[in-house]
Amino acid sequence: MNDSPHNYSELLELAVLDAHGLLDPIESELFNRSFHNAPASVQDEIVRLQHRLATDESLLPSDLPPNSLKGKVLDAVAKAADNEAKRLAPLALIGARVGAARGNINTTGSVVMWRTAAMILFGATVVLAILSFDSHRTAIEFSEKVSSLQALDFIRNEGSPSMVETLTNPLSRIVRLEREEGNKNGYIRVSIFSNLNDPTDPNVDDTAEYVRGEAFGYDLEVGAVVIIRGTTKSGEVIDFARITASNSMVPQVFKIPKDQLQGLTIVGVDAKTGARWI
Amino acid sequence: MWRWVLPENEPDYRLMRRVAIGEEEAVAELYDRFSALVFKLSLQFLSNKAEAEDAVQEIFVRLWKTADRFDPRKAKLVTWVMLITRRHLIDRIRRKSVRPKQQEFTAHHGESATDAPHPSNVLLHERTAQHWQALQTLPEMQRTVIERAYFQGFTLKEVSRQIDAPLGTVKSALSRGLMRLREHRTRDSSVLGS
Repeated sequence: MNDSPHNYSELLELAVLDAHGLLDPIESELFNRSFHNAPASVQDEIVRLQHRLATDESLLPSDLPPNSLKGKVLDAVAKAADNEAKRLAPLALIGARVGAARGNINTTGSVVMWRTAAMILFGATVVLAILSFDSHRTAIEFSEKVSSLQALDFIRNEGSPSMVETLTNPLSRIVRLEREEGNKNGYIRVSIFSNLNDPTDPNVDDTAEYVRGEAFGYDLEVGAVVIIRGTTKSGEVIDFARITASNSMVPQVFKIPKDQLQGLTIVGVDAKTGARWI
Repeated sequence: MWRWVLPENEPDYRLMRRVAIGEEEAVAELYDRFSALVFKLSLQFLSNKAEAEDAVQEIFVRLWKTADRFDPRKAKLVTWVMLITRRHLIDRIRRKSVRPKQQEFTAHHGESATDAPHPSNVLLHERTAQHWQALQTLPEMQRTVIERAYFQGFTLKEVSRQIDAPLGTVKSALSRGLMRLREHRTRDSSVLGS
C-alpha cells in the first residue's frame, strides 16, 4: 500500500465506518485514496465487507414501504429534474437575446432610412448597393459577436465559468448535430472539453477519470427529446445525456470517462421517433 | 492497484448512467430493487413512518443527483445506495434542532428516565428491544460511540470531544462495536432459526 495514509487494519476499520456513512468528507477522501492504492486482494476484501454490511438487515425493522410511496418517489425525482432544468433555464434567454438582436438590426428605422437614402442618393449605382449590403452584413456579424460576448458574460455570471471555458476553448472537441432527414430547423452542439489542465493532450492528466461535456439544443421543437449517444472504438454504445426541449436553447452538462474518448463517435437520437441527428 | 478499466458492461453501472440522465424507467427500477432497504433504514433512524417516507423521497432524489459518481470498481450498487441513504439520514438528524445536551451524556446515558432521549433512541427502545439488549452487551466505550455517532448523528470529532478520547480511539471503538453488534445479531438470528 504505497502512498497510503492507512495501514491494513485501519483501512478495514474505515471501511466499516464508510459503509455506515460515518466518515466526514475529508476522511472519506483519505479512505478512497487508500482504497485506490491498496492491492487488488484488499480492495476485493473491502468491497465484500461493505457489501455484507450494506445488505445486513439484522438491525433493521421489518416494515415495508407502502405501495403509494413509489409514485411519490418518481414524482419527487421528476420534480427535482424539472427544478434543475428551470435553474438552467435563464441560459435560454441568451438564444432569445441573439434573436432579438438580429431582429432589431433587420428592422431598425435608421438602417431602413440609410438604405432608402442610399437608394435615392445613389440610385441604381450597383457599387454602392453592394457596399450597402456589405455594411448590413457586417452589422449583423457585429451584433452576433456582441450577443455572443453577452451570452458568455451571462453564463459566467450565472456561476458556470467552466461552461465558458468549454465554449471558448478552441481545443474543445465540438460536434454539430443536425437531423439526418426531414426538418432542418434547429441543431445540437456538443462540446467535449479535452483536458482542463492541459488542453493540448487529453491523456496528460492522470488524475481525472472524466472529461466534461456540454450539449446545447438550439431552436428544437418544444417537447422534443433527444438522447446524445456515443459509440466507442470498441463498439460500446453509451447514452451521455438527454435533452428535453422546453426553450429555444437547452443546455445539458455531462461527463465522459476519459478512456472512452479515443475513437468516440457521437450522434443524437430522437427519444420518441428514433430519428437520428448526425 | 487501481483497476483503470471501467466495466461499462456492468448492468448496475449502466443502470446508474440511465438514472443520472433522469430516465424514469431506470429510477423506477432502482426503487423496485432498493426501496425496502432504504425505507427500513429510514424507519430505524427517524421517529415515524411519515418522516421515513419523506426521507425515502429525498434519498432517491439524492441518488439521482449522485448517480454519475457510482463506480462499480469501488463498491456494489447496494453498498452505494445504502451509503447515500445513511449519509442522508445522518445529515437529516444533524439538521434537527433537538439533540441531547452535552451534560446529558453521563455514565448512564439514554437509560435515565429524567433524560430527554432523542427520537431515534425512543425508536431504538420501542421498536428493537433485541437490538437494545445487544447494544448493552458491548463495552461501554463502544456502546457510547455507537449511540452518539450512529443513532444521534454526532460527528466523530464531536464524539471525541464529548467523551474526551482521541479520534483514533473513537474510530476503532465505533468500527469494532458495529461489527460486534452485527455478529451478536447474526448469532441471535441463527439461534432463533434453529
